[in-house]
Parts: sequence; structure tokens; C-alpha cells
Amino acid sequence: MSAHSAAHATIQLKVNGRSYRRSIPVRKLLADVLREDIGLTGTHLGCEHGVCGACTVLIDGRTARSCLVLAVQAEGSEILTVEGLAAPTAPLHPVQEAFCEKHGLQCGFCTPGMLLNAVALLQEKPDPTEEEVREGIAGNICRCTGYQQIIAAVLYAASLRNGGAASRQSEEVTREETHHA
Amino acid sequence: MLETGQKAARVIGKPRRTLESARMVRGAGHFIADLQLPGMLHVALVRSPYAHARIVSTDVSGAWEVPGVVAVLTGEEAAARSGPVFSLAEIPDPPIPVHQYPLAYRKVRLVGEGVVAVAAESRYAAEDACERIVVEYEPLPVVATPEAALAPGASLVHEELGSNVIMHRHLKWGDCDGLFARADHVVRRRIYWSRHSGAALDTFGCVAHYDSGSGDLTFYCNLQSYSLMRTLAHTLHLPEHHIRTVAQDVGGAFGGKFWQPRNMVVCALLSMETGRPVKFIEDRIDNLIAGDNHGENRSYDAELALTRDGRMLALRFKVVEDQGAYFLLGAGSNASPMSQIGGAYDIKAVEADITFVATNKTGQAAYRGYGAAAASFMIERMADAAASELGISRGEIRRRNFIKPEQFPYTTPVGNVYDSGNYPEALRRALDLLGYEDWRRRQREARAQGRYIGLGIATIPERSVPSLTELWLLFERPRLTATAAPETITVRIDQDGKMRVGLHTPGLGTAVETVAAMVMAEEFGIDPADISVTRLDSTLAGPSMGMAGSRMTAMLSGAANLAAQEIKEKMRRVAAHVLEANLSDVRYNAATGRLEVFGVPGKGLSFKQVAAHVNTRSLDLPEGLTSGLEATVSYDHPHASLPDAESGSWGSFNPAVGFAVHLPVVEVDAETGQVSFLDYAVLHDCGTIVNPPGVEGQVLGGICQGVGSALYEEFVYDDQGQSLSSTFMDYLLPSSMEMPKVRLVHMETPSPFTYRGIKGAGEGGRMAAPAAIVSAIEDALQPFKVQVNEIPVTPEKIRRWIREASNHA
Amino acid sequence: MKPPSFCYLRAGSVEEAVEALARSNGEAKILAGGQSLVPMLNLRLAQPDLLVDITRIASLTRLELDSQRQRLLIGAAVTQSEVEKSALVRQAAPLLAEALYYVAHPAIRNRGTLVGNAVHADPASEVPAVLLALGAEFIVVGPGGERTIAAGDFYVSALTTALKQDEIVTRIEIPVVQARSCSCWLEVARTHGNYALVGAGCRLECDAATIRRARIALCCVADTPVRALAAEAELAGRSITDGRAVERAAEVAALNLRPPGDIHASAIYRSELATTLTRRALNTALSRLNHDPVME
Repeated sequence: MSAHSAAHATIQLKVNGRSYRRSIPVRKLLADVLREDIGLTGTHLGCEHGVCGACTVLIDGRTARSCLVLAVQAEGSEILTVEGLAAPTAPLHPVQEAFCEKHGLQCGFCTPGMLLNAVALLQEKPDPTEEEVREGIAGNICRCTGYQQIIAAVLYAASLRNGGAASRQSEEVTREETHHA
Repeated sequence: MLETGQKAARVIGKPRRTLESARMVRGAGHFIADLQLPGMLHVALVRSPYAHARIVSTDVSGAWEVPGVVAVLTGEEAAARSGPVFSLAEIPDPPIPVHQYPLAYRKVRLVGEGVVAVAAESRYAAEDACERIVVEYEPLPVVATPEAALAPGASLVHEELGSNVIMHRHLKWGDCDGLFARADHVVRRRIYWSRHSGAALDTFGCVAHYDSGSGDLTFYCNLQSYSLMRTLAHTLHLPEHHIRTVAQDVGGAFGGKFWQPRNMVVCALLSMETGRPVKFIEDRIDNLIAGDNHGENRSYDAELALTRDGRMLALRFKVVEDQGAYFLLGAGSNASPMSQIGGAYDIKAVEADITFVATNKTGQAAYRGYGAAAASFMIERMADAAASELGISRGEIRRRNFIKPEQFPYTTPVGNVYDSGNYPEALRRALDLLGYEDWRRRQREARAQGRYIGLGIATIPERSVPSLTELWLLFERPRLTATAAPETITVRIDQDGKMRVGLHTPGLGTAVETVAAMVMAEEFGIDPADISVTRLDSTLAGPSMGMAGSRMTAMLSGAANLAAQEIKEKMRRVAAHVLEANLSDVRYNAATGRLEVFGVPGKGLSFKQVAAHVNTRSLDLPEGLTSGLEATVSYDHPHASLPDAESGSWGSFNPAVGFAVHLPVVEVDAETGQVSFLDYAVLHDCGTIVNPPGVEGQVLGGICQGVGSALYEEFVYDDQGQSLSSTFMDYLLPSSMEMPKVRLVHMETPSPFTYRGIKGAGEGGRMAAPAAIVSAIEDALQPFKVQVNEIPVTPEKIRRWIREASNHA
Repeated sequence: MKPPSFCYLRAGSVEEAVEALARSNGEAKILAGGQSLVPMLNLRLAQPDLLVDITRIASLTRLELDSQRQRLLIGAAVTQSEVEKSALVRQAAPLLAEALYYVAHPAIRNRGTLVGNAVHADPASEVPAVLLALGAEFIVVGPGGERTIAAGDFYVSALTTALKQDEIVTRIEIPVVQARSCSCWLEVARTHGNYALVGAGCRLECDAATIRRARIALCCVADTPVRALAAEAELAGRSITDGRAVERAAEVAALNLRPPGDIHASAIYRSELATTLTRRALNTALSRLNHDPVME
């Protein structure tokens, strides 16, 4: 990239292991470049002021809000989006599998950001407690689930990653016998 | 006759991974913001900085200096080319003169109202252009509260209305006066419910594409219903059958996406002008302050007449609704709650004085509960207040007044029916789950240590499956008196035995596709992996109310079942013909997925074999049958009845009534006013459950929004109508750390009216949680004798109440 | 909510950054983590002509201990996550590590820099108050060279510091306390990770039985962070078990404060919290005196 200041730039972005060369206005947010210029629409925008976390991606393995990163700032880094967790016809990543299995989503809008946050969380804490998971996802807002099933999904994902070893997953819900009126 | 929950099911009721999750976890959902069409333009809006002002002049010349700008549309231009959008103001005779134009026309009525629209090559450029547009306003006096709006000489939000009262109704059922006169005790409270909205992470958006060749106008959008799209024909002066709506994945809606006409008209006009697809996606500020999506915002002055031993006799209330500047879906927020206004209690008479007041604020629509969250809050606060004043426990006063199991189906004084329930048993099980005695002991120990723990209770019926008839008698002379609230489904089975199910409605983020697939798997005994579910666009969609009032599971399953029966009947006839058996001997055995001949084991045909035959062998079909294996069925509301103006009965309009008991335990930090949850036990009854994790998700998600309503979320305006909560910095959403850990058990009292006894489950969490949480906070603050009759309950308020109570001590 | 147009320069050195600022005549802004600046750009509350990205300047990425001067050095490009997780910081300035836990969420701290937070001078931010309590110094470079500004002189008013428009902070220096000490940061926020309504932090240098020196600072109670000097004076020389001294200190901490009121908290409520949180922070800090600093 040129050393002179400019309003447009041609940059190289490394996303999900692949390199993309794009000419963009320097003001364009990373989220918009991912969604529009690269066509990876899995990263969603929920607020554009850094609160909701729907736009969460991993930059060099750490969570970042892509609505608060200019695409030009991300040049030279490794970016991971939800699409990078599993190739289109490949089996699901354990975290994705866990969210399906434990009903960790409803509308799916917060899900990509939530998944990447979970991936980063489990990288740092491979066997988290329920409290650690609850706190670990606090930066990602969900309006649908009330979080409890997401927490169960992340704990389950931990157990899948640990090769099925018993995790400290707690039972969230019990189901009563059917009552006949 | 539909089957009830009594019949053992193989698929229904067992946990299942949803069809929807497969694409969502890959980030492969198709949300409206993801849609890219060739040549597509992006819209941004110039928004009014004033809550009330005349538009003096608009100078758009600066917009054209920005590269990439293609079209500019002012409010004047929009009004010249389109009419106002459809709203419930048109329901009565005469219609209420509250008109909403796509862009502000001649004056603005709320901060953030769209005044000019710019379509450009990118949203970035469109926003640049908006900044260069100069609008001259003449500010008018602002009415920011109902008090201000109702004051003599108040500035009028809609001049043509002649006042700021959009509508007023005084309704009575039963002998209210007599019961109040004879009552031993009357409880009186003013109860306030603040303003919130669903604030789904996926904001409203649309792409409008006018095709000059066909004259078709296509909308891609995340509406949760097609049902009002036909009204755009009138607004845009186009024939109805040239308007097509294509459903997208919806990232949550909570009622706010039932009807969003303004920006669709703006995009349509711009597309008709440019010939290009035109996209508008609300940004978060658009959504929070000008999204036509706010929930109910009202004060109740309520009175409850009781006997001295706590039997509730009659309920009287005056409700003043802070409606905002428009009336899009307004009336429903006080009609829908009438379905269960007396709550879980056998109250014999009701009197309601309802006033909708226009103010210079965002317009209301429907938000999860559609007014019933506030109404449930009201009746539960009254029950707690009655308990306190009469010296009866809060649990006991409820027990004494619960509608009894033998009274179901129960008809309320208003006329709505509660189909089934067992409230005493539900409360008993919930208290058991909570460990009530143990928590009471811990509360006493905590008080001795100067800590304030509180136990809360809310026992709430949860009405679902609305018909439209609730809107009739809310108006003196209803003009639009539709009765249809159907749901339609299409099922086609191909020659390979693969099934395609077409839904005639958009979704809103719940697993509706999965429900359809589960019903088909149940009825046919086929593998859900052999079923694909898609949504039809509105061109082919039959009658459908869409996602509303927690109706979809019951209505869709009802339609799916009818379609399944129709197909199975055809399969029986084909099988009888092929097997040369008596039609009456041929049965569809869902357990085996085969057409079998009664009394002749081993003689039969598989689902696949029959499907192949009926699709490919037209020369070998019984008399009168044609090729193909398909059904499109419209299922009507299973238990609606006409309102009766003479008696005042509203009829049965929301009869599938579940039940929720919420028992939270909170601790209040008396020094900081912070509230934390120590426990939260819930018993939930939505009749027969289709997919248990799905129901749990609805209950938990509803509780989370209820926590938000009770403690964190509020749209605050100053006296000039300026929104002080226009971003998520100030409109506070609960995160995982604010959400309690909920212990949940289910009970199933099936509905006698629906397929397998299914009832809705979508709104109960939000309807019950605020009442329960406030009940707990009041219990915690009992040593200070603090009464809590409002939300949100903020740390600031708790400190103030404690301070004031201590000052009076 | 998209940013307005601007130019972008990726500075290769401090000199280049300073030169770009000087040339821009006040229309340029430094871009480090962007977690304060980009939201303002998205909301179009800031409309600079030029952003100068300093995150690739190697000398600004260092987090180290100057053992000779016993100072912790935190470069302008060091992220808040790095600071929070640094064993060095937890050892040398535990109050800072503890307070950072409350700053937004990890995703914000992974990008946002400590210096960026400090320089943004949001009266609601924890970092300025902590730096005040720790006696930090800002090392500033401008066209005229380098100068040092003490934290106590750095904060002028809301979002306004003593920096000139062509200066940048290259690092923050925090003196490392040699004496036995304890610290605590506490705050009340409406929701987890949200802005504090009031935050209070303290560091107490103690000998075997007495508090030798107390440093207490608060955020959200004025348009800058506030040193609770009167409260500090109440504690100097007091026994480490003197609960009444703690009470008095907490009360005087709120005296003469005129905190702001907004939709989340009134001035009265903030004053009350100032007292409550000061008391609780002091008591918690003292309870930690015999243990190693308690960190997550």
C-alpha cells in the first residue's frame, strides 16, 4: 500500500486462508468489504457502533468487531469469518455441530459472530465452566434465545473438542411427564 | 375432526435439530441485507431533527454533487405519486384521519422521520448526499407525553383529527357497577408500562424492483407476513396482482416486521423512476427512533373489586396509550389484551376506558404480546396489591381466584374463550420446582444479615392463535370486517417419493420449516431428510395471516395435517386400485409408512411406490383421479366466533390459551440499587409440544426480553421529543450476564381445538417475566415498604425509593 | 451509519505521524485501535480529513519494564487485551489489569489500545481514572520534540486533553511501587461491559500496620477523572484496620462532587455511588493486603 495518504487504496486481505486483492475507499469498513467486495455475507451488521457483536470475526485469532475496523487496517492480518469454519460441502466444525445439536440458535442472525466468539473462547479455555461461558459470550447480543441454549451449545462444543471427554455441562432444563387434562 | 394430544406420536414431541440451523451455522442464511442485484441502488434518508415542525423548503441541489447519486425523492414528490400507507386507522367507519405518508409530507411529527430519500451507488455515497441536503423547518410546539397532548390548547399532531385523541372507547361487560358497589374492598393502582421494541439484530430492509416490461413490482423484504402487501397496490396505484413479495430469512422480528410500508413505498417509487432495484436497510438509529416498531407504552389507572377473603369480582381500568405520531397497527395493542384482560382469574365483569393519544414520538406497532405484556403486568400487580392489602399471601390469592380446571373451555366476560388449563396444578408444580419453603428460609436468614432477597410470582395465561375479529368491536362502527385468519400450505410428492413443502408465509426466525417437516414426518412416517421446505412468494401464496400472535405452529400444523389427510386419501385410492383391494380395507399406516390392506398382512405398497405410480402411470389410475400427488390446503381458525354488537361480546378470538408460572428470586443491593437473580423457576404450558428445544427457546428468549423490559430497556424522550435512546449505548439490551439461569419444567394441557392440542408459545415469556420480576423486587424491598408499579426498575429508582422510604421512617 | 470520506496514511515512524498531524492543521486524527474513533466516524460525529494509522510503528508496540527507573512502559499501539493479560502488568500495576476487565468486551480490548482509551478522555472511562490513581505520565512527541505530561495535568475536560493538535502520545509510563501495597477497582454499570455509572479505584501503600499513602480516583463523577484528595488525606497514617477511617474517606470522596445526571443515573445517585464504591474498594483492597493481588 502507498505511503502517501489517499482516499482509495488497493489492498490485499487474507480471509479464510485465501488472498483477495480489492480496490476500495479507505473509509470502507471491514464488515462491508467482506460482505460486498468479497461476497462473504455470513458476517452480519446489527448496529454499526460496536455493541451487538453480530459482526464479530477473528483477526489473527482474536475476536474483533468488523464494524469497527477499517478494511485497510486489516491488511496483513489473517481474518477468519464464519464461512471459514467449514468449506461449503465439508462437515460442520465442532462448534457449528454443537450449536445445531443443542438448539443454540433461532433466527441465526447473531450466530456467525457467536460462533467465532465461541471458537476464540474455547481456544483460550478448552474446558470452560458454565460461568466462564456465560461471561465469555456477554459481548454478543442475542434477541431470540435468552442465551441459555447457546451456553449449553458452547459447553457441548468443548466436550466435542475434548474428544467426547465428560464436560462440566449442567442440565439446563427438565421435562415433565405429559399431563392429560 | 382433528386429533388431540392424546394420540401417541413418533415425531411430534421429540427433540429435533431444526432444518433452519443447517444453513444458519454456516452463515448461509439469506437475509435482506445480503441481497445483491445487478444495478442495485442504496437508499439513505434525511431525517428530521425536530419532533414537530412544518417543512418550509427542501434544497436537494447539494446531493447531486456527490458522485454515485442517481435519484432523490422528497416528501412532496412522494405524496404526488403515492397515497398514504395502509394503517388500522382505516378500520372504522368513518376512518380515523391519521395518515402516514412514505416520507414526511408538509410537516414532520417525530424526530427521525424521513424527509428526503437519496438513492446512490452505495450507502456511503447516499449518506454523503443526505448531509448536503438542506431542509428548512419551522418548529412547532411539541407534545411529548399524553399529558402534554391532552392539555387544553395543545399543539395538534394531526390537524385533521381536531385533537390528539386518535380514538377513545368505553366498554363494559358484566355488571361492573353492581359488583364494585357490593365489594368489601377495592384495590386501586396507577401502573405504568414504558416504551420498548423488539430491536431485532436484523433491522427492517427491502429491495424494490420495478420491471417495466411486465409491470411487476417485486419486493424482497424481511416482513413477517404477506397479508398487508396488497394494500400497496392502492398506495402505489398499481394492480394488486402486479405486486410480488419474496420472503427472506428474517433475523428476528417480535412483531415489528408485520407491517413496514413507508420505506417499501420509498424504494418502489425510486425503482419505478430509475428502473433499477432499490435497497433500503434500516441502520440501527433508523430502527430505534423511526422504525414504526415500538411496543405498547401506557398507564393504567386500575381498580379491582374483591370480597374480604380475596375473591376478585370485577376489574375496571382507564388506559391512556402514548401512541406516538401514527397509528399503523395501533388499535390492536389494546384489543389483543382484551382476550385475557382478567388474567388467570375468574373475574365476572370488566370495564375498560381506552384512549389512544397522539404524541410526537415514534409510532407503535406490535411487540411480542401486542399489549398483553403490559396488561398482564397490570393484572398481576393488582393481584399482588390485593394480597398485600388484604393480608393474604400472593400465592393464596391466586389460588382463590384461578379459573378452575372444570370450568374449561372458559368464556371470559369479554367473550374470548380459554380452551384448557389446570392453573392450580401448574402453580403447585412451579412452587415445588422453585423450592419455595427453602427460599423463604434463605430470605429470612438474609434479612437478618441486612441483605434483601425477594421472591416473585406471576401466573399468566398466554393467549395465542388470533382471528381478526378482535378489531371489530374495539371500534364503534367497524368498516373492515374480515373474519379470515387462515394458514395455507402446499405439499407435493414427486415420483421418487421426495416431498416438497411450500409455506405460504414468511417466517420470523423460529423453526417454522421444521414444524412443517415434523408434521409431515409424523403423518406419513417418512424420513424428514426426504422433505424439503421452501417459502412461496406472494404470487403463489394462498390466504395466510403470516407470523402473528403465536399462531403459526398451531395453524401450520393444522394446515399440514389437512394436506396430509388429503394426500393420504388419494394414495389410498391409488393403492386400492393397484392392489385390487376394497378401498375401505386400505389404510395408511404412518408407523410403517406404507399403504396396507387390513386383514392381509404383507399386502401393501410403500409411500415411494405409490408416489411413483401416481406421478407416472396416468393410464393406470382409478376413475376420476389425475396424475400428481399434491395438495394445497387453507386451514381456517379452528375456534373463532363472530362478535355480537348487541350483547357486546367480542366472541372467541384468541382461544388457544397456554399458561406460564414465573417464580424469580432476586437480591437487591440496597446501597447501589442493583438487582441480581439468584434463581428463576418457570412452569410453562403450551399444550402439546412439537419440538421441545424450540419451545424452551421461545420461553427463554421471551424471558430475556422481559428482563430487558423490566430492568434495562426504555426509549426515553425529553420534553422536546428528542430521543435520548437512539443507539445501543442508551437503549440497553440484556446480555448473557443480565439473563438469569432459568429452571424450566413443562406441563401439557392440550387444546381441544387444534391439531394434537398444540397451543402457541411465543409470547408468554415476555408477558410473564416483567410482572414476576417486579413482584420479586417489591418483595425484596418489603422492609422499606416500597410499592413498585412501573417499569423499568432501574438502580437509580430503587435507590430513590429506599431513600424516600428511609426519610419518611 | 457509514463513515464520511477521509484519507488514510499508514505511518512508518513517529516522525512521519507527527509531520502528518502538523501538515493537516487540526483536521487529522490518530488511528490506533479505532474502538473509540470508528464508532464516532460511523455516527458521523467526527469528520477528519485524514486518519494517521500508528499501529505498524514498531517502537509503539512495546510493553516492558524499565527496571532502572522502576517504570512500566506501555507503547501507544499496545492493546488493552495485551495489558490486561500481561503478567508484568498484573505484578507491577494490578489496579490497571483489574480495571481493564470492565472495559467493554474482549473483542473491543483486542483492538483498542490503552493509550487510545486514555487519550480519548471519556469522563466515563476507567482508564484515565486508573492512570490518575497510579500517577502515570504521558510521553508526548510533537514537532518541537518530546515532553512529559503528568496524568494530573493531562485531563482538561470531557474528551479534551492537554495535547496540542500536532502531538501524539508515544507511551505511558507508570511508576512501580516498591512498598507493600494493595489495590482494587470497582464500578457499577447498567449492563456487563457497559459504561460505568460510577467507578472507583484505589491503591494503598502500607507498612505492617498503617496506610502510608493512599491514592483514590473516580470516573463518571465530573468531566474529567477525579483524584479524591480529601479521602486520601483521611487515610494517610491510619491503621489498616481502621474501618471508621475508611467510612470517613468514602464520605469525603463524594463531598464537593457535582456529578452529571443523565437517563441512566442522576447526580444524587452518582454521589451516593461515589461514597459506596469508594468504601467498598478500600475495604476490598485492604482485605487483599496479605495475599497476592487477586486476579481472574
